[in-house]
Amino acid sequence: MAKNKVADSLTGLVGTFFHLDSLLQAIEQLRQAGYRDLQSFSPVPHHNIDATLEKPPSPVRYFTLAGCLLGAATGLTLTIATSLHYPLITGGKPIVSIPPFLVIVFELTILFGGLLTLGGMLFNSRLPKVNIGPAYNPRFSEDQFGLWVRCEQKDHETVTTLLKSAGAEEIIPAGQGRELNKV
Amino acid sequence: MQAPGWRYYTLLSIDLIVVAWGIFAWRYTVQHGLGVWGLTHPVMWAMDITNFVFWVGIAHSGTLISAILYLFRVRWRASIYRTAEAVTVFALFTAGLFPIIHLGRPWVFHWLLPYSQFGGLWVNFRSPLVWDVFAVMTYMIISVLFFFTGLVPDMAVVRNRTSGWRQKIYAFMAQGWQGTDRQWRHYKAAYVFLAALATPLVISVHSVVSWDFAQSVVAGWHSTIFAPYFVAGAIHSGLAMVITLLIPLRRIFRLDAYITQQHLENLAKLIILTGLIVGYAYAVETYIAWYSNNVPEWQRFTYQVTGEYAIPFWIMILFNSLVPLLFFVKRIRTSTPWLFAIAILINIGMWMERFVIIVTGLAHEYDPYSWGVFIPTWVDISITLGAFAWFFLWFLLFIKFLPVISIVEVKEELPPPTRSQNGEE
Amino acid sequence: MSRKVPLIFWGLLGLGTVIFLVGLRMDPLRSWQAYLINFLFWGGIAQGGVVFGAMYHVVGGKWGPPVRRCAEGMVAFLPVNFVLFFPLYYALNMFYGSVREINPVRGAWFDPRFIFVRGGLGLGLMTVLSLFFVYYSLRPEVGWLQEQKLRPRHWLYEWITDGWQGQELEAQHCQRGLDVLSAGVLVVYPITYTFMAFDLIMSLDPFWYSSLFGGYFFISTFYLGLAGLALVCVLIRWQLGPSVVTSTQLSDLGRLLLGFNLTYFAMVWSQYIVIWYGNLPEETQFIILRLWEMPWAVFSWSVFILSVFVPFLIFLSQKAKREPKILFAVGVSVGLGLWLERYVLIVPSVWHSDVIPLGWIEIGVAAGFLGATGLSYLFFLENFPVLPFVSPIPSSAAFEKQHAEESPAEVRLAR
Repeated sequence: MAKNKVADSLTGLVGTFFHLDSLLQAIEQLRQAGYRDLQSFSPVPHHNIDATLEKPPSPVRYFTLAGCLLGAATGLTLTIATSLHYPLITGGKPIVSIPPFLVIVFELTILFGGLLTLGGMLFNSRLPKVNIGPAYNPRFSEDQFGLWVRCEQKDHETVTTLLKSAGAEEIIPAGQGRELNKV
Repeated sequence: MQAPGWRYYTLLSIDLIVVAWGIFAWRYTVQHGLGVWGLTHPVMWAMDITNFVFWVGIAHSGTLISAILYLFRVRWRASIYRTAEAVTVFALFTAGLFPIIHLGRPWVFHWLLPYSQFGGLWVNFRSPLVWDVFAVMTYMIISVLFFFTGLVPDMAVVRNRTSGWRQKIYAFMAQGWQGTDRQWRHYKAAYVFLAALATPLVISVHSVVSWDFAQSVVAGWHSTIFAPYFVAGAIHSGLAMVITLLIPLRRIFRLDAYITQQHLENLAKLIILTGLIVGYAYAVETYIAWYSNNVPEWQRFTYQVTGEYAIPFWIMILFNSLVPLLFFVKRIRTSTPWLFAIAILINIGMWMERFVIIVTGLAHEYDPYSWGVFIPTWVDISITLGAFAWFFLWFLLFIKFLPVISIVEVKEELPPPTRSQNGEE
Repeated sequence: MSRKVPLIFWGLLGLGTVIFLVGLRMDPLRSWQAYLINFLFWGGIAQGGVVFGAMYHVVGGKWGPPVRRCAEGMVAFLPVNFVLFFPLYYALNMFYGSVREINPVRGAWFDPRFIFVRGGLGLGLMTVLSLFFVYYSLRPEVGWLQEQKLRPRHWLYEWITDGWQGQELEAQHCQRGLDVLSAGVLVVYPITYTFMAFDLIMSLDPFWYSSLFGGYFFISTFYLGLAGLALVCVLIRWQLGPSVVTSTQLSDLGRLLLGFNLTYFAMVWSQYIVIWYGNLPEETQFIILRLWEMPWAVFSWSVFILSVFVPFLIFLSQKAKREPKILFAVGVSVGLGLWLERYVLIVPSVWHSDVIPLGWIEIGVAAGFLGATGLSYLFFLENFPVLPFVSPIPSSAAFEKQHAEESPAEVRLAR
């Protein structure tokens, strides 16, 4: 997305937290202060982070539904059309025999549903990413939480104060992250 | 995931030798024809399809533990589901060999796939064997997807800790994962939906496999109970295989803190349930064989109990439905040696069950003139052993290269660090 | 609860009895088949509910103590159901006479008296096990209430707490009792209900058999029990308030219903596809008569629509599962569908005239059984608390608060 490029150039500050409630407090304070462009990092997911950030539920569910419907339609079309195209009586069953075809339909429903769910997840998370963002710190996958506040240079002081008051351990400008694998 | 010792390499070498022997046996089959197996009229399907059903069955418990228990919000699944899922994927790799192996002309195996040939003729979608192709392929794809999706956050952890060419591979598998809230949100949603899709899939796959037999009119095969009976049996054998692998794994890697006595006990309790269902199915089949007034059905039943295959039959009854009842005793289900021994017995019993159902069904059909016996040859047995070795080969590679316990999920089960817990920091 | 409700149930019971007796004079076969259908239906709801309670205990569930108690309450109808089994003796010759003529090989096994005896024994065993299971669940409760003198003395409470040894000892003792009995209920239930299905439904057709029929029937009964439980929980919520039966609990019940909806359908499908594919006339005649021939086709397809398709489509939505009105509607739909299911399994096997037997006799007998079930359940509710006092979790709302940090979004939605 173009917005990301611009946002990247704005950089911002990244605060690291040892405790979950510090992170949550920081998020709340920043949101109240009007800074909405936040991105958190955590080693494990937690409902509270999502709840405090108040983001809408994931649209992956629509991908799943679309996949299931597509799979069902494909299954029905494939089986019925091919049977009619070359009508061959096998085992005394009707040319268009719905009960066996339903088994195929079911399997394809699940297959397409699963594939599109995964696709939906990758698409929505903008994975796979070749360049890991400037705000990432390997410790965010181990035991620390992170909060990246995208803001302009002039806001840095306000944001720093807010982060510190919530209990951030370290605050560094994004882009000057720790030495990371150059993937 | 440190460098392994000489024991690992020895095990790996022995394993590779058995796999090679299995491949040799198969090549021998392709060269000389299926006659080198014990297959003959009337038993034209025996150890080949037994192995297929056995390995597809083993695959089921992995999905049970990772998907079904996830949907029921069962906490204790966290540390064992990675290994269980690996068992699923590798068992499917093994099972997937057999549709190719058991073809008389394996070089045309692509005829199984749905595409158009000979001027518009497609595969016969009405046939249970084609349902099998779809079901097992779907199951394989979804299981691999599920496995790798679950791996992504863990790969990020591993990526951060390695360097060099290893890091490049893990980084690729991690797909640039950073653990942002956005990524977690979509990941969690996708995981729930994949689990919700995998659950009916699991039930359907072994039902479809059972219908390979139930849809026929062979006496003893044509029975409506086959679908749930096979599914329960699959989970039964799969759980036993998971226990068989977890116990040494736990010992070797010293994972006692993560894979606790409680986990193994819970698996044992699940085995009681599946064992009871399998026992119920045996009893009902017997009752219906009598009730139905169907002479071929009844004589096939008596053949099972007293005929040439009586020993495998009684092993099946004893090991699958009676031995697991021992798990009602707390002392037995909390003792690792007992767990391991009973799990092995169940695996043997379940293999025997598939063998008995298939072979006795075919050996004693409607026409007494065509009754016959199946005697396995060295080729049959070699291929069976080769398949086991193939499965263990993948498993050995897995424990070398990937984290056997889901790092992220186990962490998730711990309470998050909060200031109130730690006081002043 | 208003005084009118028990009166309504008494009225229904009386009406049902009268209609049944009148029907016996006019058309005994029709009355008896209506009786059998309703006996299996209402007994099934009650037994399914208790089995849910046993299952909840075995898996160590903690998500819904009031739901569990509502399920246990259904045990009150089981002794009544057992007594109601005895009149069926008079129907047996009517149902099985022709079967034995056509299939003498099964001889003694299908002697109506033998069917009656083993059915009675099985039912009796299940009733006893269920009663003891609920006894062990209630005993610590009632004992505590007596100790704290929160309830007046009552012969029922005296009987339940006979030999009371103090809270601590009793808690342990009852816990062990619950462990054993819940396992007992869960093991005996499939066996008993398999044989009930084989004997009371499958055997009505002299030739047909299906090995999964027993399994199908006990899953169907459990599904029915869940639907009944959902209905009861919603009613209790409307009566006692959303802090007793919370939205999260309703949502969990909805999920269970969805799961067993699919399981039920899988049982139906497994039988159908095998029979369809084999195409053996002795098997297909049963299915064709019910699925493709009028008038029974209307009933069969109604069963699928009401108990499978409608609940499935509705419960795909997350929000629908926690709405009490929707859950109630789905419960009614499933209940109605499964009543028709029992109808369409039994009636075509025994009814051989052209007139469709669906009218005031069937409705009347159903009303009578509804009255009996309602009265039994009310008896339980009046005497035992819906919220367990003694278990570690005192009330649903407090339970929710305790786990609030786990699911704040859900709790918010609940408000």
